[in-house]
Amino acid sequence: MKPVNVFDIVRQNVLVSRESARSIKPVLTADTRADDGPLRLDFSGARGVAPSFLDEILLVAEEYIQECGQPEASVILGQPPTTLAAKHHAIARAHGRTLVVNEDGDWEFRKL
Amino acid sequence: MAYAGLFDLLLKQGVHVEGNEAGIPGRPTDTILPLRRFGSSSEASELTNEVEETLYRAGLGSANIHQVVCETFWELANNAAEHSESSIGAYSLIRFSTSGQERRFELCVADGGIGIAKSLDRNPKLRHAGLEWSAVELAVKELVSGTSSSTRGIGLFSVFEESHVPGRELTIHTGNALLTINRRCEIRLTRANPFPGTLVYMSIPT
Repeated sequence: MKPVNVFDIVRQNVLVSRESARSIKPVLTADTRADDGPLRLDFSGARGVAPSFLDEILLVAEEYIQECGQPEASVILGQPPTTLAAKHHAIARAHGRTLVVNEDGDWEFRKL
Repeated sequence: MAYAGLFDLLLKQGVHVEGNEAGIPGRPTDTILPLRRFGSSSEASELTNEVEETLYRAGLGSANIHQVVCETFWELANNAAEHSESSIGAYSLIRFSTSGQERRFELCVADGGIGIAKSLDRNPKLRHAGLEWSAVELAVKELVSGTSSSTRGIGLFSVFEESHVPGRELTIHTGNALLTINRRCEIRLTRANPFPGTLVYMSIPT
């Protein structure tokens, strides 16, 4: 799947609201379904992201991979603009996923 | 925060606050976000980005603390906008205070709404005593929310978790329940003069 740059769509330094997280939904089209790998959402350009935004964007991502027939696919957040904390693992648990930090610092929300 | 004018503003709206001692009066301060009223999540979003821009330009504190300030402020402001049902809206204030070697951010969000206990009562899946005491303890736990969505309930939990760092302080005052975390990470739940709504104050050293 091709990466989607979240900051380019939302255009806010700090990504906060659920409504703005949902604005990436129209961008997740057939073009994003180039292969059956993980869905990568890139956060480069943003300077902060709130837990509620992360929760909502994970919901949107899960709706999309469900529609693609790949509900087990991982969701990768590239270059997350915040420090990893307990709250982020709590978000992963709420989605039936585990949060794994990759070698390059990206966060992979892997289906349990 | 009383001296910053927040309680005077609330009083003009019919919300009387007694005896809240959050804040450290008398320190030299820089105002990051002057006392501002907001009523919706979109206004809270705009305020949060305004705060981030101010912090970024002013260069006060470290960048990773800016993230904590902005993310915490958003969760508190959005909770007030989304759940408080406050007829007077909500008020927010962020300051940067210095005293000797100590420099810290102080955040405060207050509303005159229904309070945490009644907000949690909106979730039919929750079983709590309906008391402010038990409600505030419950509200800071993972995935506890006034909505019945299975992934909601991260906001106040995340603020509570962020407060468990030595040197930070948290005050949550709702009704007559006052939950505090002091600089040694000690948690206290005590009875206080009633606050007609919810007030959250957090202090973060940098």
